[in-house]
Amino acid sequence: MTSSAPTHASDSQPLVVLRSIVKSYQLGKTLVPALQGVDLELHRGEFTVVMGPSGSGKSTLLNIIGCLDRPSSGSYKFAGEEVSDRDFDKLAGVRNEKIGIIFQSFNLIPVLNVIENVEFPCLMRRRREPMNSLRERVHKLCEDVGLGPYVKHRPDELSGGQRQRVAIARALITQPELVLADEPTANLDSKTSEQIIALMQHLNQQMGVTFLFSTHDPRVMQHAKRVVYIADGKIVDANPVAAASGH
Amino acid sequence: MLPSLVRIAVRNVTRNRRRSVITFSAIFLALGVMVGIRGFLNGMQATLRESIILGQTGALQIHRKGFMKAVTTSSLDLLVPTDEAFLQKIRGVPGIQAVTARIAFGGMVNANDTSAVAMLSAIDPKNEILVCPRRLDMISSGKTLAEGGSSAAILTPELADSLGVHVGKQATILTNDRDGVMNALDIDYVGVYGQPGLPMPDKKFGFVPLAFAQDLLRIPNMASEIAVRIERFDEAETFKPRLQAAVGPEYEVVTWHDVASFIDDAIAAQNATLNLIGAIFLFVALLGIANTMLMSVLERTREIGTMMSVGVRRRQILSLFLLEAGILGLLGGILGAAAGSAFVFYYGYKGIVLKFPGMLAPLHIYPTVTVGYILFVLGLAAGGAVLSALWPAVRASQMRPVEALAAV
Repeated sequence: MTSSAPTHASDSQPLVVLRSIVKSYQLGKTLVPALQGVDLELHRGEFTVVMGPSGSGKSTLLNIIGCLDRPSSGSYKFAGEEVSDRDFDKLAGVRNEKIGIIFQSFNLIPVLNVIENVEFPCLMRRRREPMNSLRERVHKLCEDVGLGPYVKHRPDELSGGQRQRVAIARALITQPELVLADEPTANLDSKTSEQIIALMQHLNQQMGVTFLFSTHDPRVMQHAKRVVYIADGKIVDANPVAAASGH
Repeated sequence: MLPSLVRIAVRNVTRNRRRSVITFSAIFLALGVMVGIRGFLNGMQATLRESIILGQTGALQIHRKGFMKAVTTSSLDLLVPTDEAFLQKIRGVPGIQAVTARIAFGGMVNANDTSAVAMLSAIDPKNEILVCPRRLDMISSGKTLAEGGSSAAILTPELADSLGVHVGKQATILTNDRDGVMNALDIDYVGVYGQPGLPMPDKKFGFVPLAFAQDLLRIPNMASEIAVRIERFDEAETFKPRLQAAVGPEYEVVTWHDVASFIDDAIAAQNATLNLIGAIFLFVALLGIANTMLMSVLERTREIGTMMSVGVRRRQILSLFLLEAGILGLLGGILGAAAGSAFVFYYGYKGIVLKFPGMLAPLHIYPTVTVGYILFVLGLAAGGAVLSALWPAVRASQMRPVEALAAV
């Protein structure tokens, strides 16, 4: 794998800054609090894991950081810019250009083959790069994540591990500043899980991509440089396991 | 961006083949029926027009000014000349193919001590056939006026029966001349016009030669109308001012539309029926598309969430579903219109022969359809498909990413 780390205007500034984030859901007449005043900072190049029991608010936290949802209150700055008050289309722009998301159940588009799935986010941009250059990058990325022989395959012709590799490639093709992975190994066998974790760790080290996971998987935690514990919608511990790469 | 969405839309259409085929078939059937019926009706309406224009009215008529409004006045008060100089003015208009003079009048027909009131039409046997050749189709037995001699008459069976005369016998026509003086002349009953039971405007009706009527009515070189033939009936309106200029302001020129407005009424009624049938077919087909797209949105909610998660905007999601509906509508429409057109062109070439009981000559119908109509119904199918998918598409595009992703 021969990739250079992306360069950013201000590497010393935290990539993600959450302040007093509250998220509540209305269930019938009941207001259910999912996050209750979360403060968190993520720095570039981190390989961070969010851990916590089911219902603790992990996914809600990732959804807010991934701009898939908006907080009920609080401040969320991404790369120095306040995004908590942005409308849907502006958040779509942030997701498309700055954040890559990897899902537990892969979430590939079934009618597109591997190449088409990977290039898809770039094709939805208002300003598109030339097709030749994009295809070159897609092929290289597919090679990097071990999908070389399968680029013409559709998702239903791939194994779980291969599908997750496609999802990883799709998350990385936009050269995002942050990759979020919501329980990425939950649907994979142990051997494949190890490979996927190793791949992401490799991408973190080689490309300098910031990763944030939510997981129950202790193997993922072993590779994390920082673990954030969350319970009942509050962060109870956010100490680094080791110094974050590049910091 | 758009080519990528089109690619996904095309693949999504083929994703649930069975459902797409059913939806596609509904559009196919609707367009096929619409084009097929339109073609058949066009052919039938052309036949109807031809049978009236070439069998009764002519494409245009020239009367003395005020003739058309003077329904209560005796037609003999408002006459047109039939001398060669006047007819030559009409023939001199470029595009006029034939000209004939007629007199419409009423009279008493007597035979075997029996009288019957009849409507009579005096025609120029030689020129009438050039303007209205279908007149001959209506003669069910006997001779034509041209073959029958100077006092020949062709009568409807109802008139002949009421007088108790048979072909070959004589009768007498008694009527007032232009000055109100009674006059009578003998006629030779040479031919039968129509058949018993055939729907006719006047049951007791007859034809006599123009010169015979001019003698009887004492109006030499005069007639109540002059009928004109042109190549294309739909150009009648363009000939109207040219003829008017040729004959002068003391005459009025009317087209077959004015004389036989019931044709336009009948055509309008047929078209309204077709439009209703077409609209019902298309509405049912479009309901199918709306249902298909709604199902598709429900089934693909997670996928919509996935697209949103990689930064696809609401407008793009909306476009995707509208594109899918448009593809279904347009593809089904193109094939349906092609099938309908194939039917129209095949029978347009071969002709459809319809023979109803009591009809003397069978109807030959040659279906036709215009490219404009085909494009119109295609636009209707594609546009309707997109409109019918609007609600499901808006619903898809308004989803919140996190909710769409959580769908099972």
